[in-house]
Amino acid sequence: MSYMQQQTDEDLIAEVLAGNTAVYSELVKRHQRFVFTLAIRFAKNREDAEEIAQDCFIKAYRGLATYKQSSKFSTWLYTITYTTAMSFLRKKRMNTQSIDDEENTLQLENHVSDFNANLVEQKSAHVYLNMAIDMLAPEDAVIITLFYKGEQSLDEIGMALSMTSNTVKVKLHRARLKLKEKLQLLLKDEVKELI
Amino acid sequence: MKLTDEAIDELLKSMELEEPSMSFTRNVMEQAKLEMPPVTLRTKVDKRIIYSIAAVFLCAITTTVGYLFTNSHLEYSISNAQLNFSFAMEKSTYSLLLKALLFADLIIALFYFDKFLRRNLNSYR
Repeated sequence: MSYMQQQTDEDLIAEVLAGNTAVYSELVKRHQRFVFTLAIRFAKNREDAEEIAQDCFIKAYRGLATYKQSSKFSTWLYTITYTTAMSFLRKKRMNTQSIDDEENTLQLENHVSDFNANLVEQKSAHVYLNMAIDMLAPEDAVIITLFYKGEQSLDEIGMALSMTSNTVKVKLHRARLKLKEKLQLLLKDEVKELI
Repeated sequence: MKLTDEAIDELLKSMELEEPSMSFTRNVMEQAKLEMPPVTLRTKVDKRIIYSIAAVFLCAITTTVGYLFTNSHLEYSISNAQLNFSFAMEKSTYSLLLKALLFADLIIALFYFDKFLRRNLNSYR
């Protein structure tokens, strides 16, 4: 393990602020997968997600001196990711509605039929899961990702998304229910194999 | 067949993160090079300065209290215990200075009390 890998995020930030800007690459390496995953939850395609994620890291770099260490660096970074992705969505005028309406149900049907074509090759629980998450509203997908993979508490998620922890709790519960619904729709007969 | 909540929880916990392109870090660092290097906005305060200011205040308070006692007529008798601080503040040339000093002390005390309360309230939230 290299010297940089042993350092905490805060140590690396102090080094960057002291003038050793090359150290920032270690911070990027540590958080890029998660930031990219969050970005993909919004953008729904890799190219846009990569653009959002890069933008986040540049914004974080510019504002590194303003990072107050009252919260985790990751929480601060996810706040930037959320706001960047939201403005990206606004710019692109993407449809951020959930798939509860009629139009989206049609999308779902298409999705399922596309999926069935590749079923033999991609028969994996994670493929089903990612598809179900993709069908959720971006905010629901982000809350689920932050909670299960971001090692973030409800308070920290609330901080990142500018919500109270109670709101996050309610939204997480609803998002999980919606996810379950989407999974059941997708899996149909495959559920038995999954469990 | 119904999915159980536990199965969904397990599935979500084992979910894998997406991987950006191989050149992602390099692209970010190339862009970062074009930016102004971030510098800390908070200047580090030398602790010696803080200790010096504290020493000045302590000295001023001690001097004032000492002056107050040396210029008072302290009377004491066993039969009728009486402490008489007949120090005329208004006559003292130091009265204005004393008031200013006490006022500054009060402001500092209130400032730290406020900071203390804010920190404690934030930790409870």
